[in-house]
Parts: sequence; structure tokens; C-alpha cells
Amino acid sequence: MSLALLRSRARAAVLDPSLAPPFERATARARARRAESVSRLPDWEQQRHRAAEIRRDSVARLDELLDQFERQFTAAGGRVWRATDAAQACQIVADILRQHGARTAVKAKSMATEEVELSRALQAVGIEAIETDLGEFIVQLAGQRPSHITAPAIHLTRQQIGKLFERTLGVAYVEDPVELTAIARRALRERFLGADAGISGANFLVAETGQIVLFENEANIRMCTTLPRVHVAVVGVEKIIARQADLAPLTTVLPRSATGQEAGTYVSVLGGAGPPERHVVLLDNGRRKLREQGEWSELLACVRCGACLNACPVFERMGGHAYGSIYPGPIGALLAPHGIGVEAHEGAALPFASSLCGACRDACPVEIDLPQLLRKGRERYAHGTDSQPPSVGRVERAIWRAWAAILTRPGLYRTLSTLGRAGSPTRGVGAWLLCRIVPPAREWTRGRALPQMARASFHQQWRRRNVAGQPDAA
Amino acid sequence: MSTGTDSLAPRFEQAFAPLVAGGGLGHGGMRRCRDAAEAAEWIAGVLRPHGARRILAACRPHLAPVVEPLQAQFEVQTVEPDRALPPQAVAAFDVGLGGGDLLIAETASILLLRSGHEPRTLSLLPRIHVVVASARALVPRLSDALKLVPGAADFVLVTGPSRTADVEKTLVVPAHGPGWLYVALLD
Repeated sequence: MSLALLRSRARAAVLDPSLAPPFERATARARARRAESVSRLPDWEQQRHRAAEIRRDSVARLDELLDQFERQFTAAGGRVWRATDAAQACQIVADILRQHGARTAVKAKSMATEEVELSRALQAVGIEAIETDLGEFIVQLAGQRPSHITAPAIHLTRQQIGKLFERTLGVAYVEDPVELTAIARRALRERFLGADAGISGANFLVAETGQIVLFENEANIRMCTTLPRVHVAVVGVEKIIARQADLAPLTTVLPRSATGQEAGTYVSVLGGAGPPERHVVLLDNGRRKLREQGEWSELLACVRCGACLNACPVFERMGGHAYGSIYPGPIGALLAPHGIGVEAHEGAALPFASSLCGACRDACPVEIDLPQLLRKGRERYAHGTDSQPPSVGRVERAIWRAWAAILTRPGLYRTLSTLGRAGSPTRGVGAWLLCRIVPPAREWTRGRALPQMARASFHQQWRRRNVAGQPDAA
Repeated sequence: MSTGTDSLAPRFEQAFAPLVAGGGLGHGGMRRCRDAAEAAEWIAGVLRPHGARRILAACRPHLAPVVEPLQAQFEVQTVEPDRALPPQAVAAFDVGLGGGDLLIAETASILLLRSGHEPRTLSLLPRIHVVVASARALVPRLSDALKLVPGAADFVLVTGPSRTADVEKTLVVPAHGPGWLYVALLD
């Protein structure tokens, strides 16, 4: 995707009146819940730092830990497969399911299976994969793709979901979330009890004990990993951690970051011993290559909580689908140029889908420096490499020089800012004309409000306040 | 397991309350009981308004004295150790009555080790899940619990009834699992 295409997609998304309100409401709610649960934990920063250390250590020892996991999981009776790319991962899962004569598979929410488009691949060989997470179930019925890592149907309103259920499930129209959930529960209960196979991802793999770890709220993952006679987990290789004890800090930071809960409702920790027969497909799909690229390997620490999405003002306005990658938001914009979640050439411009405000870095439970990497991603897009020092064009250089010249001369700054305010067309008729006639302003103010210049400068306001409120003011 | 059990039970209760709040009957409850008889009486009392009839009980020694008095009012079936029950059969029960191997006070999480005496479907398919656990199973945090879990044993942590917020981020209980979680803590 070129920068121009990204801009046009972003513009279309921002101007879509049906998209922005549900997104803004939902992300605001998610941010508030996260902030509250974090504030209740006195040692949040220590726990977060510990989680970051654990993830970085795991990525550094990736191959050694994966081998250890494979030994332990296999010794307990499970099977481990390695897939270098999406096609191979799908092939492996299809073969396992065919061997068991499976016609239907109940599927837990998993970004790795979205990434390799597993459901479509299974459909091609005659196996029906039924999404069982409520959000994924809705998105599957709608024939769409998820718009958020942890809240796949965040772009749909209750009315839209009610109409979708009416059309596809043959039920009467309702829009109460309680009733909508009950409809999905009834529809899926039969599928759980009758499914031949269960498919999931995993939040972590524990090398020391050979265990798969899954976090959830709905109990659909427990169903998928318990009821059918065979269970296949498709897991990105970076999900490995060394020790079971590492789960304590990770379990502290992950649910708080994802949904603002102190703990997820269910955490399943499952080894290779069945029943059901257990398989793990370790998915590379560009991850090892990413690991060899210096600072970029930091991205492999990600725990896919979605906190950076909820924190991002660009994601909030633009929505998940405009990214064109299965991983949206700041983390998605960084994985995309490396070919994870979307073809590398299609995701190349995504680092520009950011205001570099730093909210994502503050929200990240494993301390990934997302804004710094987004900046590097832009350099890479501009120069084809990120080892070159940043360079700017002649016009831009002149603008910054003039800016510096003004800011370092207080007298000049005062004069110009007074003149600027006097002639500023940011209110009234001037603003009206500016937004409708001057092309760049017209373009910029579609989907944005024009900020108004303050009537008094900061210097003036400061002086006034000190004279009024502080006796010792000069 | 840990010193200061006395302070852990109130901490567990405090973290548990918001997990089961809301709805007409709430989504569960908790009671500290002196003995098995008191636990059985409380359980019978909370199950009655649900119109629950059929109970599937785990085969755990500490449950027997709780299960016995319940048999007069409910149809109780106790699990036969290491004999697999088909999921359809388990789904036909109203209540799964099981144990709790460790209780994590900080988050009100119940740790269930995999065992032939309590199938995993017992805490998954019936609409009501009742846990009878000893106060000795209380630990402060997850890190303490993980030190006590034997080696590579499979386990599940249960924190409240099943829930979802996938429609407009609005919290709904239940999703696919139990909609009510009751905990009787034996002192």
C-alpha cells in the first residue's frame, strides 16, 4: 500500500458516519476500564517491567526454548509441528483433521489462525470451521474480518448485530446485548457438543513444562480444547516463555491491558497428554526473519492484548479495517511492513497511520517503544532502509530553520504572534472562507474541526494570571 | 499452605463479590461455612430459586458429607472416578458441584487441577457451578499458587462466571459457560 492509498482509505473511514461513533465509544470504554484496573494495582510498573523482561528474554532464547517445549509436549503424548509459512500451517491442520475424518471444527478466537486464513483453507477441503468467540461468530456471519485484536466486532452496533442474527439465524429481531448473547449461546452449544475437532491459538507456550496457556472470558476456548476428540493449537513461535512461574506477572498485566479485568475468567494450562489428542503447530511466517533485524525484534515481545489499539487516536478515528492488515493499530502498523498480517508491500506505508503521540507506548504492558519504531518505519518507507540518518527536503529544511530563528528570538516571536493573532482567520467569517476556499485548509478540515487560536498569547495569559493570583509575581 | 489464612478469606470474598454482582439473582455468591452441614444447607438454599433439580457431584472425599444431605431435595449423581462421561450427559445437569484445589485471594480465582475425580466438563457445561473448598487451599497471589502446582499438571483457573463484552463492550453474563458461580468455603 502506498502512502497515497493509505491516505484515501483513512479519509474514507474518517468520513464514514456509521463507523466513528461506535469505535469512539468502545475504545473510550476500553481505555477507562484499563486505567481503572491498573490504578488499583500498587506495583503495576514493577509487574509491567517484569513482564517486559520475561518477553525479551524469551525472544532472545527462542530456538532453545522451542526445542525444550517440543521435547516436553511430545514426551507427554502430544505432537508438535513446525510451519514456515501460512500455506504450510493450513496444510498441517487440514491433514490432521482429515486423518480424524473431521467434517466440522469449533474454533476459538486466534489471531494466528486469522493471519494464515485457516478457515478459508479448511473450507476449501470441505471442513467447516465454526467461529465460537461471540465477536468472531458475529464477524463470520457477516462475512467480514475482525477489526480489533481482542474485540473483533467492535465496529458493529447492537442494531446491526440484531439485524444480522435475524437474517442469518432465522430469529426474531432483538438488540439487547443479553438477548443477542443468549441466541449465540444456544446456536453454538449444539455445535460444541457435535464438533469433531477443536482449533485454537495460544497466549503462551511454557517451555519448561510443555504446556499451552489460553486466556478467555466466554468459556468457548475451554469447550474447543476439551470436548472434541482432537485439538489443534496454531501458535506464533514468539509466544514461548521459559518457566511456568513467568505466568504470574504475565497473567497480572495481560487481562488488565486487554479488557481492564484483574484476571481473565478462564486460564487453561494444558500439556500434551490427552484426551483430546493434542497438536501444536508452531508458526513462523516471517517471525524469525524479524528477530534478526536489530531493534525490530522488540515487536516479538508483543502479547496481542490490544491496549495500543484502544490508546491510539488514529485507530479510534480510522477504525480497524482501514489498515488493510489483520493486525490493526500501532502494533499492526509495525508488523505490516515485515509481512506479518498482510503482504509486506501492502503494509509498507502503515507506520504513517500514527500521530506519534506516545499513548501506545504508555499502554503497552511489555514496554515496547512503539513510537520510536513507527518513526523508524517511516524512514524505512522513505529510504528503503532504516540505517540512514533521517533527511528532509529543501523546503522542509527552510521551514524548520525559520521556525528555529523565530523561537530563539523572543522579540521577533512576540511581534509575529501578535500579528498572527490579529490577522488569524481561525474564527468567524475568515475561518468559514478558509475552510471552503483554500484547498489545503478545505482538505484538512474535512473530518476535522479547525483549532482556534487563543485570543491572548501564552505570555499575556501568564502575566495576567500572576498579577491576579500571586502576590510575589514580578 | 500459607500463614494468615484468616486475612485471606476476606480478601478472596472482597475480590469475588464484583465478579458475581448484577442480574436478578446475581451471578453467584460466597459463604464461609463452619462445617459440611452448614455448606449443604446454604447450597440447597441458593439452588432453590434457580429451579435446579439435577446435580453432578465430583468424587472428592471432602464433598461426600456435603452431597449426602442434598440428596433428599435434589437428584444427585456422583462421578465415577476415571470413567469418561459423554459431554451431552454432563450438559443435561443443572449444577456441577466440585472442589477447588487452590484459591487465589488477590483475584478470587479457583485453581482446578486435572483429575479423574472431577471431569473438566463439570465446571463447564451445567449452567450453575458450585465449588466447595477448604480455607486451607487459600493462597495470596497466583505466584504462590504456581509454586504448589505439581510439575506439568494440567489446570484451569476459574475467576467468576463466564462472560463476554463483544457487543458494544457491554458486559453480559453468561457467555458459553456457567452463568452462576457459588463458593462454599469450609473453615
